[in-house]
Amino acid sequence: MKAANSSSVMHLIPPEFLEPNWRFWSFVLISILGTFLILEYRVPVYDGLTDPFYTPTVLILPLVVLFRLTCYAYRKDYHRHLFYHPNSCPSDLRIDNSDRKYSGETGFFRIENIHRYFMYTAWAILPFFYYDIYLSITYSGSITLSLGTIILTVNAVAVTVYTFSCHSVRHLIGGYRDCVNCPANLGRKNSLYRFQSRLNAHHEAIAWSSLIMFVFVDLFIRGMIAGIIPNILLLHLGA
Amino acid sequence: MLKILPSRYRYPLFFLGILLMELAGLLYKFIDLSKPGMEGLVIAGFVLFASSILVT
Repeated sequence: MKAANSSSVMHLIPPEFLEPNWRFWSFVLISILGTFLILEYRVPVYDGLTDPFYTPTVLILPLVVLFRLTCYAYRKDYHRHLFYHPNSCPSDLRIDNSDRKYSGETGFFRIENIHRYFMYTAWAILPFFYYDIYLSITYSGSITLSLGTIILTVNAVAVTVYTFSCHSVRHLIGGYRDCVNCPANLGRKNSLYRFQSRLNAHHEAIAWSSLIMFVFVDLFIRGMIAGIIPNILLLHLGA
Repeated sequence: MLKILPSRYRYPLFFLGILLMELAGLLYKFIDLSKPGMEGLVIAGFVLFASSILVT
C-alpha cells in the first residue's frame, strides 16, 4: 500500500523535477534568490516613476510570473534549455539520457493549459502600466515629460504587444474555428485574426524583448535613485 | 556567420554570472560586505553573464 502510494505520488511529480539536472536547479536557485532580493531591495516611486516590479507589487508578481511561465514561447524555451528535452522539434529523445522520452504537455505539465486564464489577469494588469505613465507625467502638478516617461511608455507598449500577441488571444479571436478559410467562413474578413497572427509569429521575440525591457526599466530607475543615471527632462508645461 | 559560445561553457557562465550578482546583493545586506567589494562582485558577475550571451 505504501509502495502504491509513493508510486502514485511519484507519478504526479514530473521526471523533469526529479533528475539531477544542474541547469534546472541553477535556474530555481537564481529565481528564488532573485525574488528574495526584489522583495528585500524595494524601489520607492522616484521622480514620479514607478518601477514596473512594484506596480501593485503583491498583485503583479505572481500573476506576471504565472502568465509568463505558462506562455507557449517560454514553454518551448524552458523545455528545450532547462530540461534539455526535446532538443529540437523532430526529436523526442534526449542526448544524455535515452531512457526517457519527451512527455510533452501531459501529466503534471497539463497545468500549462491554465495560460488561457492568466491571459485575462494579464489584461487586468495592463492599465496599471498606463496609469504609471500618467503618474510620471502629472506627479509634479504640471505636465512633465522626461526620459523616464518615454522608457515607461516603451515598456508598457512592449508588455501590451506581448499580451495581445499571445496564442490564447489568437484562439479567442478566430483560432477556435476548425477552419478559418473554409467556405463556411468565406464571408468573414478575419482581418483582426490575420493581423494578430502576424504578431503571434514573432511572439517569442516579443516575449523576450518585453522581459528584457522590464528588467531594463527596473535597472534604469534603480540607477536613477543611486544618482548614476540622470532623468533628462524633455518637456515641462505649467507652473 | 555569427557565433555564440558552445553550450557547455555558455550555461555555466550564464548562471554563475547571475549568481555572483545576486550574492553581491545578499552579502552586502546581511554580512556587511564593503561597497567596493560588492561592486567588484557585481562587475565580475556581469562580465561572466555578458560573456555567456556575447555573439561574435
